[in-house]
Amino acid sequence: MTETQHQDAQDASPHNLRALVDRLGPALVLYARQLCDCPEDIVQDALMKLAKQTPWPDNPPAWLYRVVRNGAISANRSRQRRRRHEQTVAQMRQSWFVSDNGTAHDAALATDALAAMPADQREVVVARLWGQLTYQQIADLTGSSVSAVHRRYHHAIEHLRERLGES
Amino acid sequence: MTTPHQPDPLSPLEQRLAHLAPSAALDGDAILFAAGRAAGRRDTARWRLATGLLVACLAVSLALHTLPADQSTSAPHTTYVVDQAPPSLTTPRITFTRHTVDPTHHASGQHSYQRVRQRVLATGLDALSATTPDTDNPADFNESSATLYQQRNRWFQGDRS
Repeated sequence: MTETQHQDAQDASPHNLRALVDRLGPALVLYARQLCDCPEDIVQDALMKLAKQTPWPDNPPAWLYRVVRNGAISANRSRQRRRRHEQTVAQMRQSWFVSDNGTAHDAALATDALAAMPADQREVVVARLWGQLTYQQIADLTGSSVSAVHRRYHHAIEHLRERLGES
Repeated sequence: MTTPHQPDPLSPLEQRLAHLAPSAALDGDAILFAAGRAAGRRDTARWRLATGLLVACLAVSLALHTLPADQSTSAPHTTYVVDQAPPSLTTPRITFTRHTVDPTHHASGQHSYQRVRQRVLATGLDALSATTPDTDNPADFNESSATLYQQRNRWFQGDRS
């Protein structure tokens, strides 16, 4: 267990919950955005479920990602038919990252590159880069093997490198 | 070469991407408020359950106490009844002779009156002194009439004391 995970494995309290919201909230929303069109609602529901847990799970970040993934998939199933077209258009117009003066260009490029990526690769990249999950945790989250997750991640990085023109 | 269990440090591209902050419209205060409300609702649920049970017990208890005694329990209970006074031993017992009644002998009282009336019409008022109650008919003979009959006979015989 890493130091971060050890810090997260604490009792439920407003202070700890607020720290989790500040530290994991944006990454969870980005992760949920890859699976559904209502990421904020899904993440808020997951945080509510975590607050009701007594005691908290051993690894709250991994637990949260799993709950967010299940909730996003369920929500996407129910809304998929009527919002299939709107989802793609809306996500392409909205930047997935905070864009200030120095990172506006990178944020737009990264959003476009991620949106053009296969969903399974995109999910792994988001969980690894912004969720800071290990390959093992991503494998547990997606129900895949560790080697498959590793292979998927490197394919995604190669895809991003081609799209962003990095050597 | 990276391996699944010992990944290399992030490449410059990965570091550049990781520095991008995901945008999220999460309201931390709203989440904490909702979490607190959910926690409070969970506690009140227990109190609601306990209160409901107590109210149900109280209602059953009140219902049992307000029912009438004969409906609330089937246990034997004591009932006080005013005893009737025993029959007086001084009451005279009147006994009648058992006899067979002629079915055609109806309205015995009316029959006695008619006999006396016929005697009076035939022989005058003296017939009254010779009138004797029909001892064969229980309706014509009772204690009072027997006493009056004896007193009347004694009066006619001169004993007027």
